[in-house]
Amino acid sequence: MSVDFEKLADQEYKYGFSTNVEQEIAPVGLNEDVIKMISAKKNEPEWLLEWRLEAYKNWLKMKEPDWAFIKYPKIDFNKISYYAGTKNVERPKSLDEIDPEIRETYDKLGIPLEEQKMLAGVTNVAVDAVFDSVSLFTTFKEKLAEDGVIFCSISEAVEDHPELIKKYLGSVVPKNDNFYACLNSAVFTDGSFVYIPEGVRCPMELSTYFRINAENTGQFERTLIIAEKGSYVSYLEGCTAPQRDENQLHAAVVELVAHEDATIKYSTIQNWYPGDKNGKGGIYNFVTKRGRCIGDNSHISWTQVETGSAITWKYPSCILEGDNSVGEFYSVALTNRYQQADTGTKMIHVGKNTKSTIISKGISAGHGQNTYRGLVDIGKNANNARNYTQCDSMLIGDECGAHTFPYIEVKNSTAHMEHEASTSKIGEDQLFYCQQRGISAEDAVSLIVNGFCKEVFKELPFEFAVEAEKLLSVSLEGSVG
Amino acid sequence: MSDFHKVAPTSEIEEGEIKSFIVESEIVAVCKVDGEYYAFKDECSHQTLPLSDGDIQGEIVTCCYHGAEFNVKTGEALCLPATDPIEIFEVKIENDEIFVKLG
Amino acid sequence: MAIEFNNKVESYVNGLPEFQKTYFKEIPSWLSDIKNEAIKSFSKLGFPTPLDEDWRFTNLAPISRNSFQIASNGISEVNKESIDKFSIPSLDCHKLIFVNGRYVSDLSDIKSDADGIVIKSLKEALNSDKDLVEKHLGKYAEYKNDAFISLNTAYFEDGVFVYVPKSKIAEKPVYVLNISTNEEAQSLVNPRNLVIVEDNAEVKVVEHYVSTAQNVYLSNVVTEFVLGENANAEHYMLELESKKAFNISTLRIQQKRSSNIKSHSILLGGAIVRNNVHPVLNGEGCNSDIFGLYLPKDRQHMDNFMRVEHASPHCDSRQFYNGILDDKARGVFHGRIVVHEGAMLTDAKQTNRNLLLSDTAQIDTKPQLEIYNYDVKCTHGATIGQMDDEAIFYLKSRGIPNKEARRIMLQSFTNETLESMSLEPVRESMENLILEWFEESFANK
Repeated sequence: MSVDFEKLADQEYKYGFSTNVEQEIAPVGLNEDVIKMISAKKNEPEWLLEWRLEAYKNWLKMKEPDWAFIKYPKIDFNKISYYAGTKNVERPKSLDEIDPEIRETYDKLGIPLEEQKMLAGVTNVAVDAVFDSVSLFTTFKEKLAEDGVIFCSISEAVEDHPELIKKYLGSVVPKNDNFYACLNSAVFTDGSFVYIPEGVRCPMELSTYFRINAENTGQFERTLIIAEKGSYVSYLEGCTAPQRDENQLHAAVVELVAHEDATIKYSTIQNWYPGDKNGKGGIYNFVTKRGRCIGDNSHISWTQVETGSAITWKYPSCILEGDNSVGEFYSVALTNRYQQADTGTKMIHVGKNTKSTIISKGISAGHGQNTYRGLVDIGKNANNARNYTQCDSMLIGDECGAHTFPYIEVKNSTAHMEHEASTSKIGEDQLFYCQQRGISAEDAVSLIVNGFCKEVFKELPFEFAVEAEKLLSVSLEGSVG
Repeated sequence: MSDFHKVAPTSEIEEGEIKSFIVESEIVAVCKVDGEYYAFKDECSHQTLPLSDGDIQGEIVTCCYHGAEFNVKTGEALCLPATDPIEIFEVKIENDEIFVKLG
Repeated sequence: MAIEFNNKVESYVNGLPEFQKTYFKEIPSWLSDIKNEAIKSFSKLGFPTPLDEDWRFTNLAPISRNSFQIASNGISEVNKESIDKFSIPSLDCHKLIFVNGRYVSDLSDIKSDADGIVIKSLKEALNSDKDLVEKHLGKYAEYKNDAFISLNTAYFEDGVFVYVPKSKIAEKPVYVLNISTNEEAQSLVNPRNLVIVEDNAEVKVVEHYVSTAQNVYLSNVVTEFVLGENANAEHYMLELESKKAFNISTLRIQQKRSSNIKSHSILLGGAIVRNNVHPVLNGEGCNSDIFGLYLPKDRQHMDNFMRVEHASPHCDSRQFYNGILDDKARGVFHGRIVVHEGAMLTDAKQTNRNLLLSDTAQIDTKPQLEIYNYDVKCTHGATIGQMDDEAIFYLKSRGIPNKEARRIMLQSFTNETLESMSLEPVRESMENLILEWFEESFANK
């Protein structure tokens, strides 16, 4: 390559500041008392505490998974604090009750907590802001309630809508599902809860903004979205964390339930602190996300842009139980510096005429290791199931790696399954062409990478697509060699 | 291929117990529920792992690896992560010996 | 006294001294050392389970929990007629017959070929070509972390040894027929083959596995191919054993600069079959083409495991695996392309296509890319489906009967891998067997 990208400035992580606010942090370590403390803080009913303790007992027996293509020092689960809450005990009734320091944090992050503000000036977005272990505030609640939509923190939902929580919590990701999901079930602190009643098209985008602030804490949020018959919802989550030298753990669980004719679009822009350019620090992102298309003609679509975290271990999945249900997965994963990502999806076809599409774009730069790992399972009764998978990887620089590990299991003779994957380097002729026309090398790389990811970005809500493109450019800066 | 194969004496399997046998190139799990013997392929439909490592309660066998449950009489998958049934083999008892027919 | 193994790993460890005493009059110390090392590895590794990622879809309990013993020589069952019955018609070749893993010179027919070419039993070569064997045997097939290679290395007795010196061309193919006979107890055979092709030399080797009876036994084969610069080789693996047999085979190819290998695996027989193909392209400009065709039916289980390692720049590799599955059969394809750090300008392509003819058949496929270099062009693709109804309709509308139309479709599918075979008689013979397979499959529907 004719341009020395190494010389270009290494842009620092934009969201690496921390907020100085008085917090209540649980002592480090994990035991039954900590779980009881968390449960008590949230005024949880007895059954939920039991549920947590059961998960904890099972977790103690489980082994940390080691099959993923990632390397990291062993996590000492007893050196993590499992709860970090803000001091005020009462739930804030209005924005004015929120600690100004925290409000400032969200302003700096560009997250509108005031309802009149609009993101990129197009549509209104309702926001649930989760700061470490607690949901601070949810905007547009009243307006959404007019349509019967429930959008609140999961702790509120436990208190206000126990019947829904009892029915759906753990129905998609059982509490003992895997090591990290099990840990989450034991210690989950907050997250968002969405309920869209029958026939309602949610009038605005819903979003949750996760921020890790406190030191030595883990964030274990749990999100549950239920879309009743014929409803529609588009939901977005975003995440950032301060720049710290030690690694922090984020082990979330997301459960989606789509009933007959319902559609859930779930988008993620993940920008946790990725660690510095020597690979120090950064978030360990071990997440279990799964959706069940229970009803006929239901539809779940996952879109993710993963640019942050030191380690990403994440497989948003769809279980296509209803006939004619549709699952989609669109992903851009970028690993730069010493980042490692092992991500992909699972599409489990159970019902007849079920369809799934997987589009995965992996970009590796610096010393990044990027792995696509996915499963397409077409069951015995899934007549006429269809799957199309496309995984493309792009390599920038000669010290990174790109790996593709799809698993395809088919037990039905009427299934149609196609998988394509390719790995290639960024096109020199494309770069040359751009530079010849006066576009700087860095802009050219960004342009080419954005073109490479276009199929995924077009699935994002418009405002976020713009954000995603910017984010990708920033994450790539100074990394190209 | 479709003949019955001798597996074990009936005395070898107690009520509520599940045991695994090699029959030619197959692995067959045999269990006893309410005095009746049932046989199925000793492999969870979710992943290629032996069901005989798990427990049986009533007519439900639970895979100890990922928690899938199956009905040993019908083969039906009862909960996630399994979505497909397991293969059931026909059982015959003659002279206190269990015979299994590979389908 | 027979050397017996049960479901305990120790039985394999304990049997080795007796085995060496019984089957080798005077075992060279270097070989004895390797065998002892290998069994140590095996005792550490044990048989793999589905919890091992590489064996995720294949449960070996029918092997690991079974009892076996080292096969007797069984020669009385085999004669010229039975060999003619199994052999490939009109293949002009060097014919080497192995019965229960042991070379039978009376039934074999090694013709004279170009000067210096050596074709003989490995056991014989241990003495006559001591230096070559010692230099290469066990140097490529890594027994330290593969249970079946370690078991084979410890317990192999014989196999074929081929040496083609610099710039020599073996005009006739080397045909190796392995016959397993009707044994009273379930037997274990460990054929071990070593093929050395020096710079600019050329050879073709056909490995053919058959059984005289529908028996349960385990064939555990390891073949090492060593290719010098600019060498050319073609390899055939024809698995036609008893439908109750277990067959685990490993083909390990070590390639030097500008060498070419073409390998074909045809899996038709066996109860549980695992075919490992592992070329290492260790020199610039190598070429590695690997073809696989697997047709399991009834309760057969066929697992294709392939790993192509690009260790040098400017190498090309192509893999085409096609499978047709019927009845309650299960097929597995696991293919991995690994591109090492320095392997610039690698061009690798992998395709796996499958047809399912029954709703009780199952296919698991895992095409994988593991890439540590940015200047590469790698693709893989996998498809699973059934016969194209529209194409069949088209053929029928042209007056071709339904059955014939289906046969044409399947044939065109299998031909994708068969047509690359340069040995005409082998291809014809496989085509005929596959046609029989189709007929049987249609008759049952």
